[in-house]
Amino acid sequence: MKFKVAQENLASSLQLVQRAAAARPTIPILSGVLVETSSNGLTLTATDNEIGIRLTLPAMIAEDGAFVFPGRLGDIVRKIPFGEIAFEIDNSNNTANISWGRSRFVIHGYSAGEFPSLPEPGSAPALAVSKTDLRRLIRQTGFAASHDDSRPVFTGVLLVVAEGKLRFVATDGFRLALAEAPADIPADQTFRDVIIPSRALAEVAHVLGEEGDGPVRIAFSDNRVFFEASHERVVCRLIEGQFPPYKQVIPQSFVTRLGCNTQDFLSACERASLIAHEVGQAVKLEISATTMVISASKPELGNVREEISVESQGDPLEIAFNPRYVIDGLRNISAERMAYEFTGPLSPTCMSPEDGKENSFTYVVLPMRVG
Amino acid sequence: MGRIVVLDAITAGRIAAGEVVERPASVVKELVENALDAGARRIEVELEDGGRTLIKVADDGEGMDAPDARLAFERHATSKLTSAEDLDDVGTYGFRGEALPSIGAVARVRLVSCLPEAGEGVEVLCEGGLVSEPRPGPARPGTVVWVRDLYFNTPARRQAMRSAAAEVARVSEVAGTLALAVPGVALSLVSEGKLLWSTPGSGSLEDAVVALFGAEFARSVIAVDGRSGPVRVTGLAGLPAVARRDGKRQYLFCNARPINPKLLRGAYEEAYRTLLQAGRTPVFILNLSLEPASVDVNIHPAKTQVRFRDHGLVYRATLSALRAALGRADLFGGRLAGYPAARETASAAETAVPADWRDVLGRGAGWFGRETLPPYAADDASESPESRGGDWAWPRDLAYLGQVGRTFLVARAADGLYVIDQHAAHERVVLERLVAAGAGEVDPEARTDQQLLAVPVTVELAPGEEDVLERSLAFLRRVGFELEAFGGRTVLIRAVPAVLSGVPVGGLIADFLDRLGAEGGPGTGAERAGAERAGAEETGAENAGVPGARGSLAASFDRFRAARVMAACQASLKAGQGLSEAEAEALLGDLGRTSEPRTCPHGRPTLLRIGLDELERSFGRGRG
Repeated sequence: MKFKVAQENLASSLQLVQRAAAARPTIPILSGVLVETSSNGLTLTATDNEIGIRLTLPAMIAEDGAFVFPGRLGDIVRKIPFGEIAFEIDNSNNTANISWGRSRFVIHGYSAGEFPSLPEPGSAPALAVSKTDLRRLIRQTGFAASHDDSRPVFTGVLLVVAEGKLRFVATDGFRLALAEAPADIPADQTFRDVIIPSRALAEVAHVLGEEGDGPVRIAFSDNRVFFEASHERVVCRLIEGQFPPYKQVIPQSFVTRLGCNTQDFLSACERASLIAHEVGQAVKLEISATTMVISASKPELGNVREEISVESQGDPLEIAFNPRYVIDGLRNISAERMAYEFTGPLSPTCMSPEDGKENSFTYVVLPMRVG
Repeated sequence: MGRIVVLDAITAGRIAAGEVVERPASVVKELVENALDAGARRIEVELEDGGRTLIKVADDGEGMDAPDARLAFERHATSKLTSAEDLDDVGTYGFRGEALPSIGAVARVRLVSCLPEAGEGVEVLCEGGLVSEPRPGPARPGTVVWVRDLYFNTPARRQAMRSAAAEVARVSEVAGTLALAVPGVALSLVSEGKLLWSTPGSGSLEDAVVALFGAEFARSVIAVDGRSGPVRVTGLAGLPAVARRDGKRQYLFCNARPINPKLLRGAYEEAYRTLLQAGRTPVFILNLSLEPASVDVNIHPAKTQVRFRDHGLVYRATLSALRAALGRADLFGGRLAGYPAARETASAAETAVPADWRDVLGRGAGWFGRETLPPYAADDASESPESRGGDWAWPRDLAYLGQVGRTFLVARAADGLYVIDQHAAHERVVLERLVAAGAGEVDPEARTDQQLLAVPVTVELAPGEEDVLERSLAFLRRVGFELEAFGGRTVLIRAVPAVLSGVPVGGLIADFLDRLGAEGGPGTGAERAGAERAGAEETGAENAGVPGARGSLAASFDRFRAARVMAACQASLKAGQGLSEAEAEALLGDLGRTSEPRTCPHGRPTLLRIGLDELERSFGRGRG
């Protein structure tokens, strides 16, 4: 195998793909990166058997082949100066000759045949969603997943395909986030609900990057999910188990509803949380027809009371929250105005962007009982 | 002289008969104790073949004249008691008058003694219980006892002896224990002509510890000095880093008499609770100074069992002294507990024997009457803690620098660089929040703040746990849980204490019930009483007086506390999680507000400090 590749392309691709490589591998080859030539250039693959990432990048291929580079490759390439790097693999003794300018680096690797093959989606049902929407879905739900490994389903994000939309749901038991986006769903295929580790979705978001749009194909096999874009693929194992009945958590009616400026509410909560900064301390909301008072007090520290304008319907209400949970929700509403619905001082509340926009984000948080 | 008399029949009757000479180590113990009782300043112990062929104990004590030397081999002959009344007030090691006759019965003993001012000594032989008439001996002040051919006339006993190495180890332990009891006496142990160890007899316990266990060990102990009423507790306690798995290096003395450390097991376990990893036992060398009359030493011939007139008082004194010492110690470094500093304070204070020590101990004739005696009463650690354990307080200027390996937080303060284990730190924070939430126990009507759950947590009860749950339901509700039966053995948790926001609580409840079930639930006498005691200890006076009504509550509360320790670990942030700067700073702030920021509830350290001095040293910029 012989190829030439731009240092900056290879360095950034390696950085992404190596996130899937095993940090403490059971077999050493799992810490490496599989490099193969293809018609599109080079493909890089890394996997720890839970998550796999494959990227394609442009390269000048002189001779086809495949080789597994050790995890070190990323460090080496990062230190090579900007410019073109030539690779020449000697498969007979599994060494790679890396040369640039007047320098040369020889490293030992593994034979490609020993690398576990990345599963293929085959004919598994698939749908398509835009990169922009997928990024948002991940961002708006991933934060609400739990870190508690003792209840695996809570560490994942539920993917539901329904009514022409792709829905992501995550909860840690304390709050629940739901986001939806339009998707291109083949009418002749059925999709079951699957739970994807939130860690894997974070890798998907990384691989997709901050910019660029285009379709992402999501395929669901029996025990894996595949995210495929033009040059990237992320594969991960699904979490087995029953996701909690999330629809029951989302209130269907309200006794009080308010609309307000999202940023005003968020800033007031963030300031109040400086007083109620310890876990278990509450921020209180007092809602009347036109105003909402946000307050917190801690005897040894001081107290804060802020008033913002709201438009509210229904009964006046006093309610207390863990400020962190409210802030998490508000930070995920990019719309200028938000809507907040309450079903009582001790029952679920639900926030969303006020413009609705097909109800693309719904966040349920339960209040605290204080005093 | 006539100082030795045969005990009268009543006294002899009050003394339980017992086997005094079990093995070479017991011979050494008896002879060294005799030497100490004779006021020796220097005692040399020599062994040959693990004590089988020869045990020699030489001292520079008061010595004896011919009649006393002869009488010393009579049973219940002792210089230390003259009547039964004296037994209530024993201030010497030996007093039964059993040692020499018992040894003489099973070995070939030669005793040479001489009074200090006498021009001639005396020599007595005893073989298989037959005592020779005294004859003139060398004029060497003090007493030397040679015990040859131990068990020469009892083959079964001789066979029962272990290898020479094992017997030497036992002798070393016994003699070492006494050396720690009396750091003012120079004690040495020689085996096969080789010096095993030798304490300097400087009066400093630290010096004795260095001699026996090495300077490295001595750097890992802190001074203990506390007083509760008539009980004074002094000595050294090991830092968590030197806690052991084998239960060794625990030395407890009562008025410098070695006693079984297990007697105060509750106190040291409580003091070190949450500081040690599971299965480890703390290391300590403690002396309890109290009026001889308030402790009964005559329970067992080995005299390691004693009975305190007021055990509770001794327990509390020990607990509070240990807590105070650990509280001001530099637990994670121990570098401040430097041996040289400790030695200076100790020897400086040697002459400053508190007056009450003499009152308490001064029986005149006995060993305790001497000036050098208060073994480590010479100890002014309370006045200058920084010279010993070192004052350490959470640095107010701690500034977060960054995260390493998604596991450790690095921060700096004026006194050095800090590395914090984020998982351990979080455990400590969660634990204290729970304890604070549970402290609202006193008012049964008060409810703690609750966080309602979006998705109820289901807990599957193990068979038989329904009962356990039933009993603890009221308690769980008051702490802030909202539970609901959900058919079968499933329980729904609908709300959790607000302090547990973000913490997975299913495992906590399961652990709690599991533990409660395993302990048999509130009810059984002794265990319940123990829990009540612990409860009273914890919450102070308001609980102490009403054991009846609150009994079961206190018991389950204590168990809950234990369960929480376990749960805190599970509940906590796992290592390997990225933290935002704000989160890391919040965690550090929370940790700083806890009562014991230096260890997690399981006793692992939460933080490591690399002091400025150490940095300077490491880079060759130090003052030496």
